[in-house]
Amino acid sequence: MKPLAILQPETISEVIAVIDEYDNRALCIAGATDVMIALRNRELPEATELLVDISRIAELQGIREDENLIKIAAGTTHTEIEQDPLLQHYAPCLCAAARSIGSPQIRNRGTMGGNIVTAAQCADTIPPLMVLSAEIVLVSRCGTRILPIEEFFTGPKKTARRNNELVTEIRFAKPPPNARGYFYKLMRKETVAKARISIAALAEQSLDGTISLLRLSPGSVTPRPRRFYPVEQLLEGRKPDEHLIEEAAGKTAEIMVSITGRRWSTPYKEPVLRTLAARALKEILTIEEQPHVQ
Amino acid sequence: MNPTKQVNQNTNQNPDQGKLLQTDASPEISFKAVNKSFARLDGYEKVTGRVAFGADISKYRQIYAVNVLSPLAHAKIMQIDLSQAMKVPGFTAAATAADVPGSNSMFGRFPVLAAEEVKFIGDGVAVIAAETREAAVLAASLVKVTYRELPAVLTVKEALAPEAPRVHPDLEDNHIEHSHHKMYSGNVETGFSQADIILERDYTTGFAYTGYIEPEAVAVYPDPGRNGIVIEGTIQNPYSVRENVAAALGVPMNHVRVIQTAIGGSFGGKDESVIVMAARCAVLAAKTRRPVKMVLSREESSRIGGKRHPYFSHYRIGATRDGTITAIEDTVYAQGGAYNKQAMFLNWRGSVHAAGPYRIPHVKTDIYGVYTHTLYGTAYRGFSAPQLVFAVESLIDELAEACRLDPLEFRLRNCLKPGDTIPSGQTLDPEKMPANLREILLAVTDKTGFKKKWQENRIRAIQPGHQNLKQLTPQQLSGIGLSATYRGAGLGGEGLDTGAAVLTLDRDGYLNIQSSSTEMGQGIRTAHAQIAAEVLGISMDRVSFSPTDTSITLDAGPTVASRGILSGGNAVKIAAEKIRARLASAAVEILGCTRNPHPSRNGGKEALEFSNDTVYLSACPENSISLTELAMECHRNRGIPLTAQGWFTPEPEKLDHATGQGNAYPTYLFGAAVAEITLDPGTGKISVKKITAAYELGRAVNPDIVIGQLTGSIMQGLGYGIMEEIDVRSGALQTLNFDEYMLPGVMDLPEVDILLYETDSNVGPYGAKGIGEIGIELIAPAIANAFFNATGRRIRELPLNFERALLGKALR
Ligand SMILES: Cc1cc2nc3c(=O)[nH]c(=O)nc-3n(C[C@H](O)[C@H](O)[C@H](O)COP(=O)(O)OP(=O)(O)OC[C@H]3O[C@@H](n4cnc5c(N)ncnc54)[C@H](O)[C@@H]3O)c2cc1C
Repeated sequence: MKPLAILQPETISEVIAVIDEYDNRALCIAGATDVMIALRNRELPEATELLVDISRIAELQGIREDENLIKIAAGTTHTEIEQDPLLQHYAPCLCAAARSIGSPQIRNRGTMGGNIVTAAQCADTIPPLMVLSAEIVLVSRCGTRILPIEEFFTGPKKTARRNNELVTEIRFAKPPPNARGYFYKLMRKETVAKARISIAALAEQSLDGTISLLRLSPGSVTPRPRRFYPVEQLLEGRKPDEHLIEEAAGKTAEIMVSITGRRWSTPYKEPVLRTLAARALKEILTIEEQPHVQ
Repeated sequence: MNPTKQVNQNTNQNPDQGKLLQTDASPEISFKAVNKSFARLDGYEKVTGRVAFGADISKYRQIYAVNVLSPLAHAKIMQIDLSQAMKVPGFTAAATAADVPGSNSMFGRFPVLAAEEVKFIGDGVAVIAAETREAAVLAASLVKVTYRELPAVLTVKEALAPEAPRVHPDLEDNHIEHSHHKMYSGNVETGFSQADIILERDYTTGFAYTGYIEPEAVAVYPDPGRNGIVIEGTIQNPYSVRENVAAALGVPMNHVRVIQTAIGGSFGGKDESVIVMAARCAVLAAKTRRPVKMVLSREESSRIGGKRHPYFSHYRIGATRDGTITAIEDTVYAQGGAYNKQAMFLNWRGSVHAAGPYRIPHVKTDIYGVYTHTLYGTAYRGFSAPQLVFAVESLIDELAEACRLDPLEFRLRNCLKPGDTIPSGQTLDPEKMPANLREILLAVTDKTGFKKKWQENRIRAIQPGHQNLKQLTPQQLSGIGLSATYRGAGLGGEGLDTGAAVLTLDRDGYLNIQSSSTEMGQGIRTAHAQIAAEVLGISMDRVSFSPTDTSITLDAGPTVASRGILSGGNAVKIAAEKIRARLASAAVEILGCTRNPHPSRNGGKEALEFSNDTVYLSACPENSISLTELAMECHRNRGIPLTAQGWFTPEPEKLDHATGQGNAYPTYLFGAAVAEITLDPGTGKISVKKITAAYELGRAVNPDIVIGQLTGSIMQGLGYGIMEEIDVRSGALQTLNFDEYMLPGVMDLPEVDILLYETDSNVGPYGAKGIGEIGIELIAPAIANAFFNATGRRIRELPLNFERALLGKALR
């Protein structure tokens, strides 16, 4: 392995200039909680020569409200996300996901930018960001690209980010005021455990109980993160009842199997995803008491 | 019989737990230093980070060694090509089997480096040293080994098949030498003919990783002052390392000096792996005349380190309709892996306990150890008990169910009581062994409201459809489970259980202890200091200890089998008593009194008291001399040596190894535990809410340390029960680090409520029997029994992870 150089720029524009010049020979490090492990396991990209430490750039820190948008700078740590009052108000499911990550030490270092750029199957902030319909802001010498989160993930551990692009921000429109969000992570132990399966959901019901908005994204079950649109379509425009939720939950598991095929873990994941989807939906949807039919 | 004294120790709720013991002490016995929760002697250095662990060693001009490991389970080594490795800048030396100067077969058939063939994935083929660790890692990765793959036996079943390839071709088959142990008593056929109900069951447990926080590290360097080498490192058993490395180098043992650094956990595991590491580094050090250091990464530790033996247990048990056990018969196979240093001892212990803590007239136990081309089994806390207690305690619950008795009632009916005879023919002499299992069972079940909870859950579990998966948001199910155990103290018939210590009272009246027992975080140094302080009336802050160093401390075997207190503690006590007698002989002259020649015959009252760093006449406390003055006087004016040696060996256990009959252990500990769990029937996730456990341990020398040991053991038992699983697909270890190997963390700690029962007249010092291990074995079966209580389903394989709990079986 070549010896690595490390650079600590202070502004976004410095970073952009450097990564443009070095292209695939430069690698950003934010919290380094993924990079250090790759380094130790000799799994860094072959060409890497220069580590660009972006953890001290003030512009990459913090969470702001901008009219209808919530903007999270890419270098914001999971601890900050977990504790931020704005997010607790507008996106508690994202706070819950951040809280479930690793241990306090990991959350103090690890950033949202790093989490989505690594794009691990089990990355915990991704399912909530999917249901929040987040957008990723990518900046390079050539300008700014804004990608819907779904287009950002292109395959297992693959993203649409180009080598010369820095993720500067993750943002999403404030969900409707009465929307309800949900996140659950199934872990083999209470801390420092990756998700066996996770699930995020967001729903809004109109006054008469009709589901006006529904978004669902399970984590750790498909090679790349996805929204489960057929389930959403099944539910939107209808009034929820036990039966409908059961049908939607069944469909969620079905979609997973249709994507992954039957694998060794399917006998476990199929029933469990169904249960977790049903729980998520029951949690965020209000089922009106049906008048008793005599 | 001696009354048992119960001490309540709720670890979660009572920060002052240690104090309870003092107020509750039996009126006849009052202790000065023992039975009190003194701070640990090595505590300050450890919590402030000052203590040096193995990886902290740094020697002038040291080089770094890295292993080249076999990627194949069984293969002939055709060629080892070092040419590319030698080109790496910084490369200094390499060694293969050909470089081992002495014997390349250490105890248990472990080679220093594999010579002809490799026998498991992780077997060492070569070792590389370089100026930096990075260079050594790189060079090791460039060693090209040509193998011819051979058929491997990866499971016990494969190993025992007729015509199976042999792991050690000089043996007739794959049975491990001397590892078949029998325990036959009565006649099981008679017993089964008396039974109305007979169950036949199989229980399986897999490998488990000791998972210590600190991976193995050793440094080996030429002795600067004399002929030979020095080995420093994270070594549990320095004398085993010394003996094996001396043989590998072909030098006398006194040319090898082993110094133990502080150890970040061992649990039995830092044994074979560090012997092999030390031997490899010693070969390189002899070759290069430079210090050689080897520190394992977590992944290497997982690959090289020993694991708890998997056990495959087949049980048959019979009872009469009223719930009296008539017979038990079991055949158990322990998977020993490629090499073996333990199975003959492990299985012997197992054979004594395989029938559980029950009075059973007809017993037939056969335990075998089997070689396979896999990871090898090491000593790991419990030493056969975690495996067998899971089997027996699950079985007993199943039998209770078949007899329509609740688990408590059934156990009360059958459990060992004072005066009972265990399968080895040994009688639990009420004077020596109070055997208060009944009392303990009642205590843990009373305290938890076991009977009522058990009934309620059981009734719910048998209602149809209670865990229908169609019901999509099922409620958490609660379950409660019970388990009981007894455990022979020390080595018993496993081997000579000697402990040794040298104590020196310096002329300033301060004491130093050289003990044969090693400190591994279990607190043995503090406990030994308390024993010495009790005898000499010296305050704890006057006691220090020598590092464990084979050129200083005495060889009394390994620190295993929870024997640091029983035999090591007795040795300290004996040495302290010798010093006390010498001090007393001077003191009587100085204080002008006559000495009671037979203190023990006079109600234990001596003419002299040793207390508060002072010696005084019992009858006239004002007539006193300080320990400092007295020590100075002995040193300076009287030529009385204040260094004394203590050796202690419990009475030899008489055992017929053909039948297992005889006295197995000098004494036994008893324990019972209740686990309260919730199960998410939608995911199979078990949450352990509370463990209530009670132990009869003789005496808690230091109650805080005892609670620490027991709580840690309970956590390891919890991990073994529901989380920890080693994946060895095709012999290749998949679970290399803690992202895959699920070790419970602090957030998984349930509420733990521990009750301690103390008894007198045991063989250990002040009655103490040693509690390093007993905490671990009750937990997995209590959880499995609680799972049954919650669901009506029985899982006979550990761990009860999500997949087994939901589907009843592992995914692969
Ligand atoms: C013990 C442990 C436990 C963990 N537990 C969890 C868990 O429970 N859940 C979970 O989701 N993750 C977990 N992780 C993974 C990791 O902590 C997270 O993915 C974290 O969010 C990564 O952020 P980082 O800032 O440390 O990334 P880094 O390691 O600094 O970077 C990761 C990748 O992202 C790139 N990158 C970072 N920031 C930017 C940017 N602004 N623009 C472009 N590229 C960028 C880097 O070049 C690199 O390729 C764990 C890791 C460890 C070590």
